[in-house]
Amino acid sequence: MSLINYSTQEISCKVVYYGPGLGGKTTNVRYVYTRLRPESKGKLISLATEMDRTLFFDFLPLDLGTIKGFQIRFHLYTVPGQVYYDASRKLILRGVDGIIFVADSLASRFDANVESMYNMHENLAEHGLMLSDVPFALQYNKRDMRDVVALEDLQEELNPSRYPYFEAVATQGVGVFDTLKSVSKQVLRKLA
Amino acid sequence: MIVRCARCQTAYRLGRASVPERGMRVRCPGCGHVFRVRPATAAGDGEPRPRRLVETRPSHSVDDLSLERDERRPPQLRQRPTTRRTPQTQTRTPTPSPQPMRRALGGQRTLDLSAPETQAGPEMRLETAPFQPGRASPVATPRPEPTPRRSDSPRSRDDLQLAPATPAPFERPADGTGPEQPVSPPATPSPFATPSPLATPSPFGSERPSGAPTAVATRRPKSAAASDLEQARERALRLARVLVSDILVYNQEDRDRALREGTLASTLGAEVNRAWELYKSKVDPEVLRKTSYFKDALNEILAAGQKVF
Repeated sequence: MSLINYSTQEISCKVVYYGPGLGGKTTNVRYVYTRLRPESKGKLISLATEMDRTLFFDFLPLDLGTIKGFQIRFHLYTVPGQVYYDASRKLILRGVDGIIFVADSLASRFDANVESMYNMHENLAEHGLMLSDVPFALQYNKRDMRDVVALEDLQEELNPSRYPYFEAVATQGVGVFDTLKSVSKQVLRKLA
Repeated sequence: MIVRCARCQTAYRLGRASVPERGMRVRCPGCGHVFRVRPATAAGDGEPRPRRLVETRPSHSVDDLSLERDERRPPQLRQRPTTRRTPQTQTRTPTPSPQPMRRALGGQRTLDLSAPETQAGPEMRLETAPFQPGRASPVATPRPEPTPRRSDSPRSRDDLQLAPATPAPFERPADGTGPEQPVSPPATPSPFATPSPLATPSPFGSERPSGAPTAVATRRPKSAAASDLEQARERALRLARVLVSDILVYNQEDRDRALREGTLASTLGAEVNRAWELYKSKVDPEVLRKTSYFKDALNEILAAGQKVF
């Protein structure tokens, strides 16, 4: 649910990167952070462990120009991917305007993708939402690695409803902005 | 038809009638590689697909995200239309729906194949492994031993789904006609209940009740109950594998070193205990009692096929 502040003429939208642990959610946000002009972005906040793994979330505010005089501000969040941190994921999903599911293409993490997808559905339900209510895109990350699952198999299992999807190599920035753009467009269309 | 493994180049003869129109995934018994076979294709089926990548853009600016800039660009070829609010979407119910589990049981088969192009030509078994949520990733864990597995082996995850003709004592047949609960199974002992649980061999050894099951009256239709149980099993199996996979990927270096030094249980004991506690809290008690998914996952994924746990 976008926050519209009439007094400051601002609209804030929350986009959450969801997916299994070590799938590349933080890498996505960091890449976005490194490639944007300083005046367009805020400070990247990352609550991570000493091993640089997301403990609670990453947060990056972006300014995306104006629509009808309202400043559009996107807040990018990531969730911790490990199964343990379900309460955090649930909390971070609150008020979500758009979701990017970052799937790990490695065959060894296929089950983790499926479990995370189920978990996302469950947590959305906790907030009274269905995935069809939320702007959504999938990103199949790590496509440059060996032993990745074929795209059609990932699609078959993770994306039977054929939401927009993108292949990506987040460490190189491949597909990062395409995915974000897809979801941001959906969010803005929903606002309009 | 002849199919050839892309990794080891071993050729196998596969009955065309065995391959559904949509194709299926098969695992090479020689090297564990999993590849897709389609009825229309012959040798070379195992060729890996070319990877397609989205082109890297030289740089991005915040304008890339705006609607105005975006609409001037041609649409990405790989981006599916956003018209997606179809009724099918509704099948993704908030709670885990059976739809993704549609092939939970039916598709698992083991085919006997001969290798016509090898001198020895031994009868080999090529396992079909339809891609299923909750099951092993298709190429994640090549079996250390390519020997054929018996269909009645209770340790095989595949076999747990196969509903063998003679069900294992702790299992219920997949058709739901069998008994639903074992006779007073002993309470599931916590495999990590002791202060140094991992130091004790086979912590999950007593997990499965050995008594023969008996029928238990239930008011629900058996087919519905069987479906529920199978779903619970699927989820438990997947959760076990994900928890253990998480331990592995978050502790890759420690695990590799511990595996070399033979100290896996002690090095990652805390992580394993933590995962086990979570697993216990989330898994249906009956499934927990009757299966050893967690231990199997530990040995298969974390211990790389060794029986450490």
